[in-house]
Amino acid sequence: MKTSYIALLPLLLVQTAFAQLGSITAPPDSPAPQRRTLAELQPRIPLIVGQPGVTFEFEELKINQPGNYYLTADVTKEINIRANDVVIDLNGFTILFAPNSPDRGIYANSTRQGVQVRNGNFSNCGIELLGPDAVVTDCFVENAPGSGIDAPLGRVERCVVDGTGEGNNNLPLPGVGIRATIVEDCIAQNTWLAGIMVAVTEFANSPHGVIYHHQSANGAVRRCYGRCTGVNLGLSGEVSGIFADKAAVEDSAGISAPGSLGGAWNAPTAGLRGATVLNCMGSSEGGVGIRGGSAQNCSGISGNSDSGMGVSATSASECVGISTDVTTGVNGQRSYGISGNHVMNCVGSGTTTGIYCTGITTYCQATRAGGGIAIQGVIVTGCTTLQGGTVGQVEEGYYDGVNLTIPPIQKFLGTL
Amino acid sequence: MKSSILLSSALFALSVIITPCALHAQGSLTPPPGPPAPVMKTLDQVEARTPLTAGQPGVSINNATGTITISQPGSYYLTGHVTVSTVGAHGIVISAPRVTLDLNGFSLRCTTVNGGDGISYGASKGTRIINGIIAGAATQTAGVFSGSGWNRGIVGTGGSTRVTNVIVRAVRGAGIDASPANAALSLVDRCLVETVGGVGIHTAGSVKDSQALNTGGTGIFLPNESLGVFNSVAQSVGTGGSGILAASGVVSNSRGVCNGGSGVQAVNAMNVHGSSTTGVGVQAENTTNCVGVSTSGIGLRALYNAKNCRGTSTSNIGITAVNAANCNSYSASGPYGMQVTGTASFCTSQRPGGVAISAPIAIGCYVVTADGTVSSSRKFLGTP
Repeated sequence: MKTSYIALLPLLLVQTAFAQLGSITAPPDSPAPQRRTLAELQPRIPLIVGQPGVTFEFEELKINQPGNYYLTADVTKEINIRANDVVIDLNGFTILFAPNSPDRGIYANSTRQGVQVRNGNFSNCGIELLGPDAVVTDCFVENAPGSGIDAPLGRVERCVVDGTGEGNNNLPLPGVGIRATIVEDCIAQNTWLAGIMVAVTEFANSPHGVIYHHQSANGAVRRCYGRCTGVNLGLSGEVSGIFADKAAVEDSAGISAPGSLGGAWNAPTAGLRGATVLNCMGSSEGGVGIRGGSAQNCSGISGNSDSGMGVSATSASECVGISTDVTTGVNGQRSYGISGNHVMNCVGSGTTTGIYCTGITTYCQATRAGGGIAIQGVIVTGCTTLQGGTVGQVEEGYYDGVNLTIPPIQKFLGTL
Repeated sequence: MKSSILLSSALFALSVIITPCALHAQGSLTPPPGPPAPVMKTLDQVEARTPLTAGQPGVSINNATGTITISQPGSYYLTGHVTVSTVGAHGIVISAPRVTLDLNGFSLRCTTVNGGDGISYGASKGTRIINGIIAGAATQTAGVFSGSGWNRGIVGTGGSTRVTNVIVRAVRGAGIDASPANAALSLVDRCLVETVGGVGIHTAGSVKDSQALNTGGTGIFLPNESLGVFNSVAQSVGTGGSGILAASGVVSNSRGVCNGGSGVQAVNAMNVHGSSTTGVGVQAENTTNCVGVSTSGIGLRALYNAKNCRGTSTSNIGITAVNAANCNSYSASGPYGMQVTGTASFCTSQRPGGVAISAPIAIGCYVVTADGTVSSSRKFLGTP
């Protein structure tokens, strides 16, 4: 009897062991990992020499493979991207150079596509991503010797640029604050050339030896602030606060500060230039406040310049334009509060005339300082003037480079 | 015999337990091709930023007060909640430029009566603060603030500041005061400020996708040389503050509510709703698609042009403008329903028993109630 109990002992032991281990039925899939490896915790590649794709050559950190990289400390060398589809997270760190350095903080030439840079600072250097589909977000750039963020075919969001320079041997062009195709929620100030430049894809030297622009793409600017304090070098609008002739601009402000003197009257520097301009402010001491194909709900102020127009737009509605130029009449200078072809529901004040319109002026009010012709128009409907101003004929058939045939003025609906 | 049976039984049981473990695969023994590459990351590489803990480079912690000081540029993050309970002590002090501070979802709390500031960055330029909560214990009743906690939530004058995804709640003074002394504009984005005794958000630059609610001072205040306020809401419960005050900026897609100041004040306003008890509902040079409401102030005041707007006031003028187009106004007992100094075109207005529209030129305008009149020497296109 005792023997039979002892014979049952192995079964009892096995049963006890399985009871402690739980079910012997295997789970349907392979066992799930219980811990994460460091590689799983941080699958991205630290930007350190020796890591896959990262080398150090000619005093530059080079990224040679597509991938997702991140900084682990401040960096004092240029990062040269030599592959497509590279993402760099600056991780809150700074690329830090000595003042007026000849290098960019991060550089990718025009063949590098899909490069993204985000989340960090650049001190005494800028970013140059010349290829298509570049993206720069959440960066701060200060005191760049050339341009701050230069991504002409890319998108820039939530960045601040404070201070660009006149260039040097390696950075021959004076500094734009931000150049891109789409710019949103950005601030660029104290810049040598335009604070924000959109859809400008080419620089070249003009016969006069100065820099000019070539607009060849569309773009957009939203909720941005550009303030240029440089000195105009040539013909056109490169020292505008926001310079975006082929772009839609909305909810933005552009200032061309006193140092930025304007160019020829019909191609001026402006506080803000855009193809369509909506709910914006523009101010220029040396040029046009706002210049656009169309402008709505905008305020433009022009200071003491030889091309002073508060707002210059083919079609302007719900705008106010003020020009305070006191040198009007000298060398053909003119000071218009608003100039355009269709001006509706606007207020203009200028020392030459308040509103100068080569087409239809509707439901507007204008002032000419000291009286005189407050509105110069062709068809003027339902308009008023202040300070005893009158409504008269457009003085010449010329608008935006086109000679126009101007019929006698016609006044309707209460226009005196 | 008994011993051998027992031993064999035990060995059998042990083998049953051990065998499955021994059967797990051990992987290939063949080495991968090519030279060995660095495959390991150190912990410092995995998380290269500096934790805000004692002894870390650039970080010092005052043992007596709990204040954390960051004295070197760099990228820092919180590793837990921070509570300060010493009178006048700050939570985090930043004394170096280009500091990125990730609150990492944690909170800075103050439990003393007169705490310092949650985060103070002084004149440090390029500060970035993200992703956390700053909370005190201030309360508000009928516009009067009391209670304990932080003096201010975030404060500094360094400029080029960016504050994102931060909640500031129940502080005695300003919520986010990032107005620079050096005209280096700043960005405040996706922030919530609630129940603060002073200004909700004060910055030169822009405020976007943010809320400033239940503030003692102005809800969102942008001083001179600013960009604007976008997609944001502000509500001031004090006696004199405005909802959104951006006198040198533009405002769009936003709403401001207050008692004594302007609901919304801007250079240009678009798609904006402003409401004030005694001040102006909406005031701007140009207003488009705006609604302004006031009890005793002007409903909507366009210094120059108004289009597609509505302004209402109980005892004042519904809309004033130089030119008004496609607008609608109402005044219960004010001087005018709509007062225009230039041209009123295609507008409707209501002022029972009074002047519904006053304008030098009124074109295609309509008075809603028969007992209202249009005061104009030049009426056209059906204007009565």
